[in-house]
Amino acid sequence: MKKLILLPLIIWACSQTKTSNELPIYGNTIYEDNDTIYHTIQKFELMDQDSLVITNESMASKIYVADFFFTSCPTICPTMKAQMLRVYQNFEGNEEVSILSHTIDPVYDTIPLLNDYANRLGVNSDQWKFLWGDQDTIYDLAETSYMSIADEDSGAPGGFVHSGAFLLVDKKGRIRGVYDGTQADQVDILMKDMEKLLKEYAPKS
Amino acid sequence: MLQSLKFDGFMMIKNTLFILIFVILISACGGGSNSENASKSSSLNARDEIRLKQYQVEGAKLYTAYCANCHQQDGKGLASLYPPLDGSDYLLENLPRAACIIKHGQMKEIVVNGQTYNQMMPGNAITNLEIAEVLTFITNAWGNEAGLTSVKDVDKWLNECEE
Repeated sequence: MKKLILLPLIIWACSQTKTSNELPIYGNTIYEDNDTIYHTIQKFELMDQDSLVITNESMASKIYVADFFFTSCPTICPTMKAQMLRVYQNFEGNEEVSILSHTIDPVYDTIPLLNDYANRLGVNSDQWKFLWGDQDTIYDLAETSYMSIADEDSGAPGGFVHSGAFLLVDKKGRIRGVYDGTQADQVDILMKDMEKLLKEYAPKS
Repeated sequence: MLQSLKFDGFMMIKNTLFILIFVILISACGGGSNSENASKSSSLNARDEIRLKQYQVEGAKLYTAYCANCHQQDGKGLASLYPPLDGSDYLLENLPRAACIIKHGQMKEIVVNGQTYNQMMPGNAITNLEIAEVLTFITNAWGNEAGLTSVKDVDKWLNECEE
């Protein structure tokens, strides 16, 4: 009888510790005096598919998922977009959630083309932004800000910029998760982690 | 009187027996010749069916490697970006054209089941046999039922591709 009472308690305790675990903060962390400085996404200024300028400030009140792709890519990009579409549909209408897809082929992927691409994908809100900037800017942003943390484990063709990674970024511009955007089960984990991350910002009751 | 009745009864039974035996014999012969035909045609069908199965198995592997990224594993395509193959009028109404597109790719805008698509499709450096296999797979997977596409078909069709 005692055991019967204990079992649900143990299960409850385990589930409590799991959900209270916060997501890790990725990248180099610097400890200065009494300050802890985390790796954050550098300053950026890019254009979206509606020719709106998007900067870090635009993302300040949002958690977001970032990836890198190009529209004419027949290999992993369509799979990534099919998976990102799941994320988009799951969080559609949630103003705290955004998606930033950066094109790494700004010559072919013009802003009108990105606009058409977004429409065809069924994206008709400004929640999912297809970002355009010159190639050096995008590559620098990718390599120094987003992918520096994924540097080691990338043997993907096209380098790590084209690795198929989805990165979860919090409202302070810190990377909180890295996922393989070509794998449905990894994207399931991403969506769970997004819920977890949103809870960090939910008013404590 | 009684005797003749008996006799008639006997004759009737005898007649019925005759008819029965006759019918059994005919149906047996008929059945025999029928099953002979059936076994002939089914041996042809069986050979085709085995080939169809082989092509589908090989074609499925090729599909995963070359096509599924865009057209998706379930053949339903992706939104209005990549057209479906499952139930695609554009695919099923013109298999020779489909073979040419698999080989050489396609740049122009097309209409599939009433929806326009404009993404470029790259060509594929694969053999005619592989094209026959993958074409057989996509035209017999999901809800499609177009039957076997042979290498000979593909050889012929690829010689007649439009520019």
